[in-house]
Amino acid sequence: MMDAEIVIIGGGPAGMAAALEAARRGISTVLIDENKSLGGRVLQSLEEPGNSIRREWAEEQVRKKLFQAFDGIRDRVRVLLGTTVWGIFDRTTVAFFSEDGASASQGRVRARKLILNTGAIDRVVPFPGWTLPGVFTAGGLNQLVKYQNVLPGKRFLLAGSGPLQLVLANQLLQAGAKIAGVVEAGSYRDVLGNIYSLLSGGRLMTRGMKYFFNIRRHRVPVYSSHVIVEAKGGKEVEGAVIARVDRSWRPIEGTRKEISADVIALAYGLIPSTELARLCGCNQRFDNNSGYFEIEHDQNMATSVPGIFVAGDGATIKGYPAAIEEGRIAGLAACAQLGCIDPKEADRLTESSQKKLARWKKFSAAMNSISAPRPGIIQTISDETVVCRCEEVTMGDLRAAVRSGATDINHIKRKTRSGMGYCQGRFCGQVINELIWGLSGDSRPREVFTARVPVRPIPIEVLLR
Amino acid sequence: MAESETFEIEIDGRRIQAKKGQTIAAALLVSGLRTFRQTRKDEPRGLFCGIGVCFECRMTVNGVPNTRTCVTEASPGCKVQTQRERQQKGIEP
Repeated sequence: MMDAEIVIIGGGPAGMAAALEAARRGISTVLIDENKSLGGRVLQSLEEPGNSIRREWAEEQVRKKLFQAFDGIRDRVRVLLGTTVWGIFDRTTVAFFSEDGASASQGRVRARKLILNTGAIDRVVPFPGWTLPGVFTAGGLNQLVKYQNVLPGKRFLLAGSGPLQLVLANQLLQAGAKIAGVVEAGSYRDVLGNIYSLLSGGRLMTRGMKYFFNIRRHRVPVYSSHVIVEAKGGKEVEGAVIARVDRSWRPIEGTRKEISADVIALAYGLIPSTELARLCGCNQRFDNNSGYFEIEHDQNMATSVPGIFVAGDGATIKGYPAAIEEGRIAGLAACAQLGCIDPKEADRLTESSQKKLARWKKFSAAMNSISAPRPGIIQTISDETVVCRCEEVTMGDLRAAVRSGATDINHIKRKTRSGMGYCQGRFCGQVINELIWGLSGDSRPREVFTARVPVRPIPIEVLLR
Repeated sequence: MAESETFEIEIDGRRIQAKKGQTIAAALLVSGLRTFRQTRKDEPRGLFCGIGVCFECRMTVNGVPNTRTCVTEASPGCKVQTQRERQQKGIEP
């Protein structure tokens, strides 16, 4: 077993920024990430030769600055890449493993302070056919296009809500893809209703506008106030059916329209990955505006559990510029708790980060509210729709479980096996908590599956060792 | 820009091209293959989340089952097999 004063889980922008602050003060620090490179989903290196995607200038500047600073302290941080954390015990001992082909190695590190920067996953809304090959999450397609230089089809349809759609559509256009349409559940009125908060995003808002006009310039059809209701195809995606929605995103009868496409990307925004924080017992709350569970934290990013901090999209979805500021704040706050820096000095050092964050928060709240699925689209999921992809459990199975007495999300799990598969409920859980909440007529709080060890599927040899 | 190193990998006995740094999933998609797996109910599945969360892209790689091809780099000569889980689980003879 190793020991470290600070263990940072997640080597994206937040984790790197936190590690910088700790290492600069000579604190023994371990940084762990599942991926083989640092930078997270947005800032990892674009090393594929001949890649058709250029990084935005502003993004490249931020990346350069962060990586240059990190290079200066890299030899003072123990960086474990390609390493998956599968459990945290007694809120201090982090268990991890890494796989290389058929062999797996494992280890543990005991931390005095933990900083969790676990990032985000795509939010999904199921519909018949969404399990067909050719349907991707927006995040998944983004990774393929941006880092692997791959276009997995000929005609792309984007469906969902909010800003990710614009980002992905622009990457696809840059890569030379043909876009059959952008299906946006929200209306222009939703954007106008948030215009003051959106303008606080400054540069990001300008970029969003640029993206939007670029899509228009390429004559990509934009279907606002529409959602995807079905993916067509026998063995793989061949097309999609979309429909107009009302204010609650309930599809309106008689408005179905077929669109030919062989790739469908789902972009209903992102939600924080919170299983490690939940495993440690950190308080969480459901945020009605963004429509997801977030981990409670104070302005120093400290959670309800002493010694545990959260930062970045794993706390709330705000994007990489905010993640860097939060990581910095969490790093300094952890140093202060360890007595390596005076708390007043830490406050002074984080003042500028706090100011920037306040602005990002306003902007991201507006973004999150635009992409949060509304009740109508969940309520109208048809019985034959597969909700739990891993265990192949349909909406009808879930509704039947509720009719036969299941009263909470873990009860549904035991009755139907939903959430027991490989992804461990990280996709179906999003829908099931909305289902139960809706059926209870808003009379009970939303729930989330209990986080349990191991939080990732692990080879049995790791447990036996 | 420099051409990256290319090599062959095997998918269900068939040879396809892959590049250094490419994931197995990316190489398969470039070759035109999109169905990576058949579920216990014999439904086709392919890459979905692309970041190692959903496990939908799992395949048998060099004899190791349930390998996430979206986060596993292709290496020269690696052997990839489609998983047919209905047969593997013994649901049907």
